[in-house]
Amino acid sequence: MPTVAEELEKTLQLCNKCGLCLAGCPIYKVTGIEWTNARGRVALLRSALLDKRLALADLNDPIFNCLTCNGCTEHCPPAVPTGDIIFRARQELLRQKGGSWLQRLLFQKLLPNPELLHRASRLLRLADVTGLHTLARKTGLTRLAGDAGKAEAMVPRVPASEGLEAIKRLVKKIDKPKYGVAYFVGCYAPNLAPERAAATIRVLNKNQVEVAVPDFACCGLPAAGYGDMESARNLAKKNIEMASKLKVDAIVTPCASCSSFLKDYAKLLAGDPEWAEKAKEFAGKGKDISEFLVGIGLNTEMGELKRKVTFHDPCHLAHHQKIKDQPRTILKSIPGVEFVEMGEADMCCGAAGSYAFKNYDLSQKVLERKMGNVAKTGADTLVTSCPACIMQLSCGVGQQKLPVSVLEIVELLDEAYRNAKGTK
Amino acid sequence: MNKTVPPEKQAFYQKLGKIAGAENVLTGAKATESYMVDGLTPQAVVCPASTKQVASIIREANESRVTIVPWGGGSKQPVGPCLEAAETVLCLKNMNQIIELDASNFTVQVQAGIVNGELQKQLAEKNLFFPVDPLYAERSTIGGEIAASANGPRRIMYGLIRDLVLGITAVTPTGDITHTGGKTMKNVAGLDLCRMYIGSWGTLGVITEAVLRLFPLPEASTGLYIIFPDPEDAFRMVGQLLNSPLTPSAIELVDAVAGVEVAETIGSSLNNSEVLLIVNSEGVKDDVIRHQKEIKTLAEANKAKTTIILEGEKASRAWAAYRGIHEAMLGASPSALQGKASVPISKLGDMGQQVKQISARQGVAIGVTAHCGNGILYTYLSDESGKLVRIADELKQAAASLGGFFLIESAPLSFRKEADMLPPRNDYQLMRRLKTEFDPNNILNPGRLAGGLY
Amino acid sequence: MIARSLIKDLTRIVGKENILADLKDLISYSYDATMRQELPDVIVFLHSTKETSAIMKLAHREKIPVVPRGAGTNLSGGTIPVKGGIVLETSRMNRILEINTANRRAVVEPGVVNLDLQNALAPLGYFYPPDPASQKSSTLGGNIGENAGGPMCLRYGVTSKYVCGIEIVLADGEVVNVGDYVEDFPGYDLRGPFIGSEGMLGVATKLVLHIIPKPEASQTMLAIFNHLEDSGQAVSDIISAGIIPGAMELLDQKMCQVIEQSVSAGYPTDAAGILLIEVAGLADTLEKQVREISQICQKDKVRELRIAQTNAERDALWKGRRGAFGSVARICPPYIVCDGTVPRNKLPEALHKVGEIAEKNKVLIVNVAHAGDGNLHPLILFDVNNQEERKAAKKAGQNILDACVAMGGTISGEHGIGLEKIDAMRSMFDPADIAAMRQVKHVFDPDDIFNPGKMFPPEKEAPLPAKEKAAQG
Repeated sequence: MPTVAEELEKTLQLCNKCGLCLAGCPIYKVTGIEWTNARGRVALLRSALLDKRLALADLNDPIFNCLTCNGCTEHCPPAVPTGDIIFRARQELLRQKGGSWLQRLLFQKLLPNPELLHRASRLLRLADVTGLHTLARKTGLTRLAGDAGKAEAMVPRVPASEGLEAIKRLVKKIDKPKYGVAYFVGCYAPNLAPERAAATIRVLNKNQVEVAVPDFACCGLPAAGYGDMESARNLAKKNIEMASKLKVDAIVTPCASCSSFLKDYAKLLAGDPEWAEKAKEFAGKGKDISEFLVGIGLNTEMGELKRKVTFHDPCHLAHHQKIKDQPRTILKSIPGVEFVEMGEADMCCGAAGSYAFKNYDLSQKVLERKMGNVAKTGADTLVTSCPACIMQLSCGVGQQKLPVSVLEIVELLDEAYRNAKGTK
Repeated sequence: MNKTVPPEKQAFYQKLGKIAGAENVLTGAKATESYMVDGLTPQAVVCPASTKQVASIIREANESRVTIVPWGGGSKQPVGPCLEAAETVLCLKNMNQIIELDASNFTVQVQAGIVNGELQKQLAEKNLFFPVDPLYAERSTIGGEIAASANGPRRIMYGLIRDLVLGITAVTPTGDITHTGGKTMKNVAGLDLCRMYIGSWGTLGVITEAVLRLFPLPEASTGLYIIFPDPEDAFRMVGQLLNSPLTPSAIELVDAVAGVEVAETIGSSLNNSEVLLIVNSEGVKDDVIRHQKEIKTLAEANKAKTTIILEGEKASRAWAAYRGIHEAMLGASPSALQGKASVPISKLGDMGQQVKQISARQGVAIGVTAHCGNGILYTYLSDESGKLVRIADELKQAAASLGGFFLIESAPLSFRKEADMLPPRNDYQLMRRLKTEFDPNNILNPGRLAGGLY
Repeated sequence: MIARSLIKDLTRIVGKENILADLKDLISYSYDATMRQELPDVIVFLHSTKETSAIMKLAHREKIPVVPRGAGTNLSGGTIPVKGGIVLETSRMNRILEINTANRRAVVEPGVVNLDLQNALAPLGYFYPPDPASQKSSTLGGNIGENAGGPMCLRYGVTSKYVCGIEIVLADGEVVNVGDYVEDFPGYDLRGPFIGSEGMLGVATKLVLHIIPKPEASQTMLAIFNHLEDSGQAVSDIISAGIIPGAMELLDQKMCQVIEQSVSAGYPTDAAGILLIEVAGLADTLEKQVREISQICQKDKVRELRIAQTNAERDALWKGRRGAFGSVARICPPYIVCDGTVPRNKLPEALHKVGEIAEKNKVLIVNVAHAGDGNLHPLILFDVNNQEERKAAKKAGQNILDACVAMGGTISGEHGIGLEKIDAMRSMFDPADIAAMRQVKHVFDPDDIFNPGKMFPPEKEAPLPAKEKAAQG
């Protein structure tokens, strides 16, 4: 078994310290601290793992306050995979320190089981509906939870929903389908935004795509981001197993983080001979919704939407999957829409999954910068393609009191298609 | 004039002949005539032939504490604060050769004593030129221009002399030969002493050689002479011109007081508040034609009264008349004063206006010329009724109120001896330290420098 | 090692959120884009002139070395704190204070990133010509420290031409303003020695820069040659013809191959040398210039000439060039980059010499050059774990610099001396030249507080200049 130092040696030595990564690092831009950019994090990991000048345990912040947005790698000519390096370092730190009960509960019990996860979200809803949640906030109880306490204010009120089962009931047969896909619903939509799931299915149907909703579990990214690779792999295997029973053209999701990680399953299980081939096949089927729709030829029978629209590139879409054009193609094809490009559109919003729960202040600073860019466009609609981004951006828009609606791209498309019916 | 010379200094003057050859040393009455400066008569004038000789002379001078005045063409000697002493003039007129002309590299290495005009003649044979054109290039030497950081109207297109000198050989006040810079366009080896020597007015070292950046002689050139009844319109046009991608080779303005002869040369005249804007363009033929067209359009759009486009011989004559203003205004009277205002580019019009107001208030005519693309305005006046000090003060206040400064360059000796010539700055102390470091015995041009430093 | 009480004093001046002193912090500030590392004692983030002055007073009192730093992207060891001490970080002092196009001035704090200024100027139709390859990360303060160049400098000039005024905090805390917002200021031009002084004379806290209108149009083209010498000749011939392109960059075959592995710029991988040429100016004359350049390239046996038709094509061509160094790093992270510069008409000879030196020392060298300025960038590759190769690479580097000087050139066109080229200083300068530089250093910083150990070869090794000999005897 190679040590983590041996595993990472060649990769760490790829960095020649040119410093171009500084141009793409949101955390560096808001802190100015060298070890918050890729060059610095890599240098410190080198110092710890290769030069043995530090212990890995001394590098908690450099390892954990990275957004893993991959904005750095965009600018890095030798393409140092800093995001991957950070994930590996987190895995090692977790191994050294051991995880928490919460981690075990979340990654080993809840996320692999959508039904259980749904039930847990009902508890949250109960807290909301009974006012307990508000009470906790007002009495400052939430502040005891540190950054997590501050960040929880960003989570929207939990709506009534019946989880994945309810979404499955929205599936229907369509006339003359051209494609069949499995809709990877993810963790967010069934519990916190079921209408978005409904919109996704409608949009796909409008494009002559038949939709199936299998019992996929969490994609595994949250576990990987925490450093719990084992749980991530278990989740991947579960999902691959589920997909092997299906005959579909693609596995589609409107969540950029999910589509990105699904595509990474090949890399995740490359070292496991039993799963490597299946993982590769699965990953090849994974598609982001914009990518898929533009790929099959988007149905342009839309009604007019009079909106001034700008797009925030989710990191997992722009940097991890290199998908930038397709969402814009979609937005520009909606009649009535005035599209305006925002500055630093592909710079992270600061959400990074559950980043805000551990690094609230940094997350807020990055969000502030993003809001400045949004405001400069004069847009009334901010579109993106990731639920974590939606949550973060909605929070930002509210804080800055900007007159901007924040929407998923599927929601805007859905609106456009529904308008078409009306004009007919 | 013939005061008693202390013995150690006597020894120095005797050594001069041994170093440079007796025929290259002047003493006595001959020296007095042409090399008097700031009312001081040098004991001797020596004209060395090489950097080595210059180094020997200065080393000896430093040891004997003899003050030295480096001398090129002498054109800027009556400028700036007065010298405290001027015992020996070190004239570089015998060091006037081109050392190496590297035409395909667009560089020339020259001895500092070569006269600008003479250099241009030789360069023209190879279809090259050095685009530094101060208003007395006919007699100023390259070394002098470098020491005085002299620039002319071409600065707007080609940049300042400090960016056109690639390398310098200079002898320090303690007699060491230093080389800085070289032949290349880019050079960051070590500290940039090249730009330190440029504009040091012969107080940090004597420049003996320089490498200059050259340009091809322009294929075509033209001059547009535009008369505006209202100066405001002229400055508005300048603003528009500067905000465009056009690259004129001169944007000069002259008022009715200073512009009598120029106006005549172009067959026109300037009334009272009218101003003449001269815009030159040179370079590739197509570029020049485009400039002609667009500048004319701009002029008409800004209510110009007359636009005269000149080329060839006619252009040269008019331009020569403009360039002659400086000497003409200074030569007109022994009480002539010339000052330079430097203000933010967009405030030049305001400065011009203030000058007119001061002139009217004081009842003294003030002639004005300006490098419009650089925020530089020259004032020419003369007065024998004791108003010079007050006028100078008002001009200083006007420039300061616009975010710039006004400094007096040429003036009667009595004025220069007493008046506060230079604007306040907070880096004079640092400059003093630099001077002391290089010239601990204060032998080179003592008193010449800014803020009455030394 | 500095006293803890000193860190307390510093904290009192800037606040604890602006002090870093853990080992991980010190390691992060021990390096730049070269290979050496030396730990500082503490890092201080600057925010204002007043704070900076207070910090310098403290450092001066205790004689603690101070190293000003922007983004630490310099290529010569300029920001490595070889004697420990305080790193003065300017990355949080990054406001653009004023842009006034009518005055052609921009006033900025030193931590502003070069590209951020360009992006602020672009919508106004203006730009700041010095555009080093590092511009998306490097700061304007850092650019001034090194007198940065860049491809555009061929036509427009280097940093030194575009800095009107600098507010400097000196070693003893004194604040001076050298230069001015307006032109032709009186007295010595202290900007001159300060620009390119590699952080050794003081720390800049405010910059007044000269900005100019963008050219009306530009055309980018790629000229592909079968022989490297032909490309060098073309460079010389184009400029001799009186054309001053906006930029003219040369890349050799190995460099193109390396670049194409990392960045798809569309460079050919089978041509001995390519020239990336950009002409800028008035639209009408550009067509003519492009034709003239084509003719000259034909005369110099060009294999193919591609002219970029769209902005996207232009950007792709430049992306390759700007990613050159990093692309090399991908295949071989440690390399020595030389910065020797020769008179432009010596470029073909210089390239030939580099090839000879590579063979003689048995090292692999890939070439990129700001050809129009004669500024070479031979990248000498070696295996970091192989002592022999490392030595050979260093030797080759020295040989190249010596060759440049012998051809009438310089040991550094734009990267600065720092640590890397201290030895080479003596091959270019006489003892008297270096003594004069030391005098200037002495004027600004007599106690050698700022960035000690850089630029000058050790004093005792150099024979004394005349004046000191005289003083002695």
